[in-house]
Amino acid sequence: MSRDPYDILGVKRDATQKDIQRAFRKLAKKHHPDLNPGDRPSEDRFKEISTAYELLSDEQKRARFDRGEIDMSGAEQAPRHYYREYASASRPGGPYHNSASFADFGEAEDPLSAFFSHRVHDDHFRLAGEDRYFSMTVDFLDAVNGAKTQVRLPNGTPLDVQIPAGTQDGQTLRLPGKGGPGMGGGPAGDVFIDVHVKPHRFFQRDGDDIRLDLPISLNEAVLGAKIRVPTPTGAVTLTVPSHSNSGKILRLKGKGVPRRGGGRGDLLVTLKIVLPDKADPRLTAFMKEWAETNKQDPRKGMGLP
Amino acid sequence: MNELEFCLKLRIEASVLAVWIEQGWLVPDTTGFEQQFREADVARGQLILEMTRDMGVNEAGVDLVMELVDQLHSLRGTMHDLMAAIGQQDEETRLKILQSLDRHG
Repeated sequence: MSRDPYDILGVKRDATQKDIQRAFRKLAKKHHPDLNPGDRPSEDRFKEISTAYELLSDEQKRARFDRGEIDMSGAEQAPRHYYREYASASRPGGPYHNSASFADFGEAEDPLSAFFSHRVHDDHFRLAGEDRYFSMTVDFLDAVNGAKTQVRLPNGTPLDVQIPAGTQDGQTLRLPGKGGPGMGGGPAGDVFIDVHVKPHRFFQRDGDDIRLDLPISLNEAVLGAKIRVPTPTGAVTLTVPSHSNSGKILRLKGKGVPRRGGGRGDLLVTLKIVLPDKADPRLTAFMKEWAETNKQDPRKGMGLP
Repeated sequence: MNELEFCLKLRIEASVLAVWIEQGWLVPDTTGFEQQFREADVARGQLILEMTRDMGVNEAGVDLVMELVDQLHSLRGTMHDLMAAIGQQDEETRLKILQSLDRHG
């Protein structure tokens, strides 16, 4: 067996990282044991390919290999079991059985055809249980952060439901195997739950981002301030720059909705300047004086006479 | 193994696992108190990880591949049973089946 990772991946010694990745992906597609379940020797071949890739895809390891400091054995991988070993006996009733590819075999009126599409056992058909549909309403923050909750089925039995973080209004959750019982050893059906998310008092969802109107006082707007801001995961401190206008949007990175597969959207804070609850004579006096010299016209350009 | 052990074993975040389950790529055993994962699920998870991390397959691609992999294995299981059943027939019957296959091929 060749022990040179460049030979194994079939790339030149000066290949770019991109070339190496491309070569690996091509070979992996051809030799991954789970994507080629009938190809027995693919396991050794794939192990060799991924060991070579593990070494060359890491630029530091690659450099050390090029200098002769390490060899392929340093990147050896632990023996593992591929999915195909478990799946080779996929039969009806198993969680991953999928007979879609031969469902049409049963259209012919032939006992042998029925073997494929129904797989008769003990003189009766295995039938999957029926799917059931429910809807539930969840709090805004539970939908954003994820939560465990319970729904009560019409027959009174409680059912634990895990609401995934980032669930959207109108999304459907699937609880496999929680539906009606199967017949003749067939799998149980699924439960589908339509989720309605309650609006929040001040948060508003916008895709992966959350919008928030944040009231600030006149002095905070003019002078700037460090203020506490609610986020879906708890309050944080936000710096309002001095001379911040009403409507200015500040972005709190990663304080939005968790994304599938990692990361979060942002929290978009829109500042809203709020005057004091009661008119303050000192402020009024100051404004009168200030207006004498302030020649700003915020409505110019609107074509007003 | 439970959810935590499964995530530790594959070194993934619980949120990643939640996506896999929601997509139907993994179907843990939910008959008990908490959902349980089998060794087969670990192997399945490794396949999903390799596709997404190393082979550049996106979520829609994984969805398609898993669907076809499951179909393929189900078909292989049925084919295996059929071969075994044919193997149990006497010489003459097997020969007849072979001849019949020749005509179709």
